[in-house]
Amino acid sequence: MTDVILAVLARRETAHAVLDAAVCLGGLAGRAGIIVLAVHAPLSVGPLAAEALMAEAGDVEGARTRERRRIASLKSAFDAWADGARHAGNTVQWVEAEGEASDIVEERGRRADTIVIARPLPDDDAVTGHAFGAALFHTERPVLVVPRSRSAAFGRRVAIAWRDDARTAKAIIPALRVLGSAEQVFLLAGVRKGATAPGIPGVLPDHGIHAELRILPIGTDVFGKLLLATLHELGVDMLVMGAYAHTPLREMMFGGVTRYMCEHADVPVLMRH
Amino acid sequence: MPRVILALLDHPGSANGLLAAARRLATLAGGARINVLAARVPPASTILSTEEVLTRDKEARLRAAEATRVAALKAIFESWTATYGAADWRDVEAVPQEAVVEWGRQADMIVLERPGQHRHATAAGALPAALFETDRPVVAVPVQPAPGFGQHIAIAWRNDPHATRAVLSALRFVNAAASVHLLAGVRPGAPEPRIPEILIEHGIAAELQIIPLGKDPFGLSLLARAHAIGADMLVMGAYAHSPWRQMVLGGTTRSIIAHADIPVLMRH
Repeated sequence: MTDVILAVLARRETAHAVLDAAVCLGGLAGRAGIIVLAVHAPLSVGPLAAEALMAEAGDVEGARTRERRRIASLKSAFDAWADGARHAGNTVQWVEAEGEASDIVEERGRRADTIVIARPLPDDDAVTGHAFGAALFHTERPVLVVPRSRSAAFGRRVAIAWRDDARTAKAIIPALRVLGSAEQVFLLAGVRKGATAPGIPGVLPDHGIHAELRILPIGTDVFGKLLLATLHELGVDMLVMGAYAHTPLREMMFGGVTRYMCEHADVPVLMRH
Repeated sequence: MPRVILALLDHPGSANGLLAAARRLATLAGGARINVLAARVPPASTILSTEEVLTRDKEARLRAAEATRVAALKAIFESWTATYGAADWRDVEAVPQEAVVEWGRQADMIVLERPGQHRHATAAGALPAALFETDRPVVAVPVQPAPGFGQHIAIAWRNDPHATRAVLSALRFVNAAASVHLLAGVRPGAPEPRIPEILIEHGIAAELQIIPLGKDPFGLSLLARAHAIGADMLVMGAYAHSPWRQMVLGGTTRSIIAHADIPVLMRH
């Protein structure tokens, strides 16, 4: 049985970072089957009056051309990367699908073991944003959120943003295999003033993982900011955390720390909703 | 990364088989640490507090009976570790279904005996609790599991994404199987299913076996077919009866667990 990693490509600027991260993650798991997915937007022409249709035809054609170019640029990034990925012991597959990106990412993502996707950028279009939300909240899979810049190999110094709840436990279990090959594991626990500091959860020592506990005070500053500063200070190259939505009804409204880390983290973050 | 297998001992008559199965599963998983748990049932949990009074005498008797049972388990455990090497022993006074959830959440897999094999077994409630409350794969083991089980896997197939996921994550623990068969129930006239994409993507070469759904209970036809093809382990997604009563096993799951004479690896 091979682990399946779904690498979701949306923009040329982030494609290399996503592909490299997929190979690095595959290496941590042993080897993997990496499926690289690019989704075409469906360009349907609405039911318009004939003259409006004439005027729109040029726009639609322009949009189609742009879409073709985008997919071609993603494919060329894939082609440049594929041999190296195969050489590292992985199997790789290019998949182009047409339709709603969020639906396709959800369906394909559920079949994979881990999803690798780029961190959202401020100028992402709505389709890319929805696909990201679908990956994080609707696939029930761990998602590796990759920063835009091509990062070096990760997984040597790993931090876990610890919270004593089921969500964090869910994030840790799939990450255990990654943690096993880490040189140093930090457990970062936010603690309110006056509250007692948590201990190291039993699941880590039971799996032979030695983690160093660091307490971060909650309440003085934006917690995400403090978390990020601590990652830098400790030289952490990967973060593991639960992904929170604010309410079940509006899953797309990210929880505060989740949103902050999605927007600012400059190391890959393995999240699990 | 060493994995952790939690073995819940219950009846002394099943303990040797259960420990052997835990050890076999550790080998299949590519090495694992085995934590062995025995739960002494607290006297207060055995009575209906509104109907009965727990006299001091009765409490002492119940506690002594549990202590004797667990001492027998401990003796089996110790002679087993003397032969096969280290494993961790834990015994606690706790309701078994609560103990298995607490310790099971920290393990990667839970092994327990198939319920209904002994009268007065205490762990009958432990199986659904382990399945539905720990989010871990659970293996129900018959009294005498075949020594080298896990080479010929039969998957009780149901085509729904959650079941598929459950089966897949369970399969991770029996990676080196020599053969994998997919047993799918099909109604007369319904189109034949195909090997699903997700298995192909994960590099699992499975052979499809169609079981016509008819008047026989599906669980029994499935077990008969598993026998016919020489399967030595069954893998399936486990179902609750309804979302409101999570702790009640669905009909097929229940009949398979009740009758299986090979280890059944389940995941909710």
